[in-house]
Amino acid sequence: MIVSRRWLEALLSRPLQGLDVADRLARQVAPVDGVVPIHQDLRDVLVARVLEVKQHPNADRLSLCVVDAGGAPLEVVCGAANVQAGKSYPFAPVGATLPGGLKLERRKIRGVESNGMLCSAKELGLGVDHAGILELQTDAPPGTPFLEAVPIADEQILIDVSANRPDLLCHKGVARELAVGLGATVKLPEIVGSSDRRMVGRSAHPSIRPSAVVDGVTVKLEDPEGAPRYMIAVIRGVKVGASPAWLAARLQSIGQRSINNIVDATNHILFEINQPLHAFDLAKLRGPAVVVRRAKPGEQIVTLDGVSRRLTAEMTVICDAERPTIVAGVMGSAESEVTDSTTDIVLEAAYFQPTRIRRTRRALGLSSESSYRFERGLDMLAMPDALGRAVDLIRAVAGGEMREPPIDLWPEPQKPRSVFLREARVSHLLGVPVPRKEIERLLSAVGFVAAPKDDRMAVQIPGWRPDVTREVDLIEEVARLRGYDSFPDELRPYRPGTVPDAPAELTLRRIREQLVASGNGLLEARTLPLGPADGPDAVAVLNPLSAEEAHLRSRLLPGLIRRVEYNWSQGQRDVRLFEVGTVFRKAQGPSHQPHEELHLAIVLTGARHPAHWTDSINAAKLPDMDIWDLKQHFELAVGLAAPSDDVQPAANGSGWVAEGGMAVPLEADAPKWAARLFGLEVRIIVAPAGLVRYQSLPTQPAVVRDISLVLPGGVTAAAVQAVLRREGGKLLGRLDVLDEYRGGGLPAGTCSAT
Amino acid sequence: MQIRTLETYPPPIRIVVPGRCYRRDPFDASHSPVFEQIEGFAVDEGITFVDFKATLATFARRIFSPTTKVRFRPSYFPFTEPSAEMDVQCQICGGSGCAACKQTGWMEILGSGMVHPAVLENSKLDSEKYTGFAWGMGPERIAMLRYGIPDIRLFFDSDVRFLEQFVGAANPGATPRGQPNS
Repeated sequence: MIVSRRWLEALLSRPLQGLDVADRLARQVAPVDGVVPIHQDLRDVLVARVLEVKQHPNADRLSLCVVDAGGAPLEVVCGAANVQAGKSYPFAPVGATLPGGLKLERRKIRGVESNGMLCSAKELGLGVDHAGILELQTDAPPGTPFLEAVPIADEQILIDVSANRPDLLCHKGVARELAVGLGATVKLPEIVGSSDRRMVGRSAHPSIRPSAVVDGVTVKLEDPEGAPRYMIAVIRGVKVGASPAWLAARLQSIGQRSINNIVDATNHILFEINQPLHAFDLAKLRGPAVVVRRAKPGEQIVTLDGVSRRLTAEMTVICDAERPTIVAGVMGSAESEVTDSTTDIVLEAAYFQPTRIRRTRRALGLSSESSYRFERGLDMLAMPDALGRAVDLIRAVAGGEMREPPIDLWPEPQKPRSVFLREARVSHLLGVPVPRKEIERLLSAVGFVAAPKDDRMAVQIPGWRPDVTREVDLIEEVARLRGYDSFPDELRPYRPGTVPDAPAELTLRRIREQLVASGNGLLEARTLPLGPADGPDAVAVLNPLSAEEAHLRSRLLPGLIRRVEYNWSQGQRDVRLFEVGTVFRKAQGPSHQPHEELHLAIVLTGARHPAHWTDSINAAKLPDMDIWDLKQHFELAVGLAAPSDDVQPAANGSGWVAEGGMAVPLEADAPKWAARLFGLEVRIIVAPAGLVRYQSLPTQPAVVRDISLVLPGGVTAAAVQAVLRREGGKLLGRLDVLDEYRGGGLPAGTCSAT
Repeated sequence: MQIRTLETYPPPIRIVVPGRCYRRDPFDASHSPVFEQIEGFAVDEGITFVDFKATLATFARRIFSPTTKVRFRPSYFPFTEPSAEMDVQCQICGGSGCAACKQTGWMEILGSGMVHPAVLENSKLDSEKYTGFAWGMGPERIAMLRYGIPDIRLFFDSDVRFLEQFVGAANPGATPRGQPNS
């Protein structure tokens, strides 16, 4: 919602600062997305007084003016016929930039140097009048910035209005909230020029009958479910034309286009007091009748945007005696639109059922300022006042006469709702006592009426607050009107919770911490869990962003390899990344949910360790990580992720395997200078670390034994280790493979392992 | 998450739940199709708006710094009432107003509020007896503010030069591990 600072000033009768308004709204009402000054492209323009007007020596149609723009008098060439000595005009000095980006330079016009430009309204983007320069009615001394001298400077305050607060979709609603903190009152400005006999003041009483006639127009409400309250006024003899400047400027200040005086007047009421109105041409109304009914299935209407639309029985339409002219609350038809030749108008104010409007808007893919408001719920009780003000405004800007009071079809009249509020409950929830007097003061400031009822308060809810339905809604009102800042933020005692820590999270945290602490230089990567299919049971995404991201990962390694390739592309040779996370596979059996599993994966490439000065200077290069670094990392990973698994050489001789994992050299899109790439992946068994128990220290010193064995082909060091571990039992503290020897002195096919 | 917990455990409940979220948004400097969300939830007898403010303000001061100013603003979420967004002092300009904070001096870091009584009632808890608060936040966004990271895509590039910057990264507001978090 865009609100104009000036418009708020008019309702609150006091000057405001845009940033201050934004801050007050943010603290008390709703988030503010920004404050945007308008007409900033006029900040270089000054007020200048023309001291003297002379004929241009070389051109009949140009004059040469001496201009006071605050400094020394300047000579300016002017082409406007209306320039007069002694009057003030907007002046763009040399160096100024005008709307549209024109930058003024000192230049010669017909041989005479011009030091700037006296501007027309069109050149300033303020209107279409290009007939002459803009004469200013101002006492501001020459040199005053134009924006300070004329009342057009304004700021748009962008309020992020949530769906539950339709009352904030108009200036009156925003002003009502601001008034609380400012100690001001909201008063709608008098409409100047409207007739002194306000017809609506002695308006029709609401009618519970479903039809009535107003000034020759028959109005029938056949769908009271879709339109619980429906009002029509007829104004005859209007003159459709351009809006007065103030009205056009008001709408422009909030980014709305001025269309004609009738449409602008209805839009003004919309943005001022939140009642959408629809004006249509009486002459084009067959009957003349206005019928509110459900649409017939398949019925068609050409809406204002020129599109033919098919309707359903779920929609409400406004028809004349023959066919639909308006999709209720959403958009009218081109046919019934007010045009320059219109003289008599039918003005509709309605309350349409919010969910009905929401469905219609969705079904037609059509949204308007009106539908936006109807579907959030409007103030049904304020409709007569709103329609009355609209009639006044239309008559003020377009003339015409309302010969009969509007009719008001309201089959089931409603009274204001009440909600009970307990003083004790306010402090119970908010944590500090708020006296009853203060509660009443705060609530009444925004239109609630609190009256004592037994030991509680009965709070009457104003029609513009459909969101307030429970006691807690009122407590929220008290909290925000008192100011969230006014509540202390002291930590008070609390009881510990009953929910245990999640085992999976604890396991992942332990694995992460131990990998980072392992001293291997591993960094934790976070890859996107989306990618191309990485296996036969990869889960497809229903609505993917791209083919490259069309599947959930079933393994971590492919994503990590892409990260290594990314690092290579950044010139990084040494990359050691790990990731822990969820992988997904297609559901097996009756479950529709994909199967999820936690995995740990590591990728390694590059130097085994950073250079050190003790490394031989002759060494061609530092050693790169090899298959044995992979094995070491695999043992580390399996030890953390699935401690009961055994690491075994792979059957095909390439890498290692464990029950839930494997470690292999990898192929990747590697630059020439890259080292070999290795990767491993293990599924994680969720088992948080148990408590560490102290073991008594050995009473005897340890004994170190070197054992060298000649092993026949096919017997691995791992197999020997397994035997030694089993036989050594508790006596064996540590076992390492230190060396391997093949060659001279040993029988062919055997090796020696130490 | 909240409903499941309410159905499984009796109050007092105090939980923090991280989780991965997906949405169909292309990558740009501030959006990612995959991001983390951390939700928190406390329900017990006698939990008030003061407890709610104090808990989240303490969190913010530990993440940012002990002197960081925080403020709570009204907002709307269907499952909380009163609802609030929490701002911290702009980490770029320190609160004096700059382009990053749209001249307000504040940056929003989380949405929160007192648990709506209907949420408790739907879980068969007596909303007269029990109250609580809940919040949700994006750790990426908070990390971006905390460390001055300009682009959310950096988290997913896994560039080793980026990751190395955060090895053992100091956290001035943090307490040593093992101390109770309140």
